[in-house]
Order: sequence, then C-alpha cells, then structure tokens
Amino acid sequence: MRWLSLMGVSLFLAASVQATSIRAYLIRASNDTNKVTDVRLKEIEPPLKVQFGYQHYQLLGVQQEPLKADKVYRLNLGEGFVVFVTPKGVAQDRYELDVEWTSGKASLMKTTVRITKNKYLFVKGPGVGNDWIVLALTVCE
Amino acid sequence: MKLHNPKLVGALLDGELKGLQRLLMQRHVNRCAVCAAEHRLQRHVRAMLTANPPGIPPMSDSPDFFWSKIKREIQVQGDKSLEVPVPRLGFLDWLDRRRYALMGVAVCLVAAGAVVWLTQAYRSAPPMVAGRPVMTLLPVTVEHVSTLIPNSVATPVETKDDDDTVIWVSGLPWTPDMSEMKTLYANLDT
Repeated sequence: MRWLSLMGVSLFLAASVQATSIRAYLIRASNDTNKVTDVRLKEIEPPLKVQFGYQHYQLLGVQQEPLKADKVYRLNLGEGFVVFVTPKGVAQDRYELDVEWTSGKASLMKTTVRITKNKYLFVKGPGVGNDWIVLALTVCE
Repeated sequence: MKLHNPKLVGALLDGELKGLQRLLMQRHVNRCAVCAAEHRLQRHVRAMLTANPPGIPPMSDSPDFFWSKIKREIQVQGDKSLEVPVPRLGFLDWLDRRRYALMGVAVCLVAAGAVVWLTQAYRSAPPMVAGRPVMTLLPVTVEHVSTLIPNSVATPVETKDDDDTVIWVSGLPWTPDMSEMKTLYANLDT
C-alpha cells in the first residue's frame, strides 16, 4: 500500500506544480478590410471586440516571462514599446503588479493592478492613422 | 458462497456439489490460488490413497478409543514444528486479497476529487442573495493609474463585462503611421 500512496501523492504534486507567467501583447486595432486578425490572437480576440469594437486585430509583438517575486520584467514588444512589470505579491488568487508602459523616453502610463489568472488588462494607447494601439496584459499558466 | 472453504473443495472433489453450487465452486477454484492449492492437495491425497490401499483390515476401535489415540499422538507431536506449504500468489491474487483496501483508496480518491471540484465550483460561482449575485472581487482591479504625457489622462473605464478591465489613455499624440510614431515618442521626454 505504501507505494500506492506514494504514487498518488506524486501524481497530485505533479498536477499542482505549474509555472505562472506574465504575458504582454502589443496589438493594432483596425477596421481596415485589408488586414486580418492574427491567428495568435484567436483567444484574445473576443474580449478585444467586446471592449473596443474594431473588426481586426494585428499582433505587433508579444512577450512572456515566468513570474517571480521581487524582479522587474522588461518586456520589449517592438515598435519602440516596452512594458515594465514588477510583481508585488499574490492575495486572494489575484496578482498585484506595478505596470509601466513606455515608448522611447516617454512613459505613456503607470498603474498598479490586481489581476486574476487568465483575465486581461487592456490599455488603449495612441492612435495611428485610423487605428489604435492596444496593450493587453495577462497572468497565465 | 463462503470462500476458501476446504470442506467445499473436498465436496467438489467427491462430487457432492450439484448444479449452481458446483459451477460456482469450480469457478472459484479456477480463479483462487488458495483454493486451487487446496484442491490440488486433496486430489493428490486421494490419488495416493487410491494407489496405496490400506493393507490392514478396517479399524475396529470404538470412536472414543480412536480419538484418545489421536489425542495422544497430537501430544507427542505437539512441540514439533510443521511446515505448511504456502502457494505462490500472482499479481491478480495480490489484488484480490487487497480488494477492500484498494476499494477504500479508490473511494477516498473519488471523495477528494469531489471535494476539490465542489470547492472550485463554489469559488467560481458568486454567492446569490435573492436571486442576484453579490458583488465580489472583480478579476481585474486598477488600484491607481497615471500618465506623464502632457495634456493626457489615463482612467480605468467601466467595461461591458466584469471579466476584463480597460484603461483608457486619452490625449496621446496622434501620428499617421508607425514609423512617425516611433520617431515622435522616441523624442518625447516625460
């Protein structure tokens, strides 16, 4: 019976140990019919459409890092946009993060958010032509 | 039917079992290593007795006298150790002998799974009061937000669903294309 118990405990631990990551997307929201939604945004497209109403979403850059406390993450999303994320802690299954979105030398936005796994924080950024630049941030497995 | 019963094994060998009882016992002997060993042993004894019939006339002792002889023999042999052959059991026999323990483990695992599932279900479903959900912690909340770009403002806005949150940075400089945007923001000092 001992080996059976050990096997059960091992299976339980293997199932419960999962790496948590922070992921950031740089997205261009557009109604231009020449553009199509990137397949890599398939999962995130429905909430984007709900929040912003644009027809097409182009992925400009994406970065993902394993989440560790007391570390400042620099997520370079391309096109000159960089997101700095500082995890502060976890409470009630929500991750508290300091987030700063920069472009070049300019700090576009600074915020402190509490975010649940697999939920999104969207930031509507600058306009380009008829389009918008959107930042999406999530904590995922 | 009571399992591991040597009397029933003997009865099977003697042809005393009939019908369903015989069928069930035969099936049990075919599957149970302990009873199969008992069956083999008894069959062997019968074969030996058949091959070597007693050369002396049947015992004429009374039952009491015969039993007193047996008791005396037991007393004489009492201190001697007797080696009983133990049949070698396979994995299925091991499982069979521990079936109640294994069933207990399975029931515990199912119960633990049910508890975890119920806990998760309770956690994901908001508590209801008078048929309406009570406001709980939103999946994403903005503690504070600000922007350093002149003539701009950053505000969290109410969204169409509670799952995600949007921060709206209004008043950021507009550019006609991405290359101009890079140049503009590269030189915009905050």
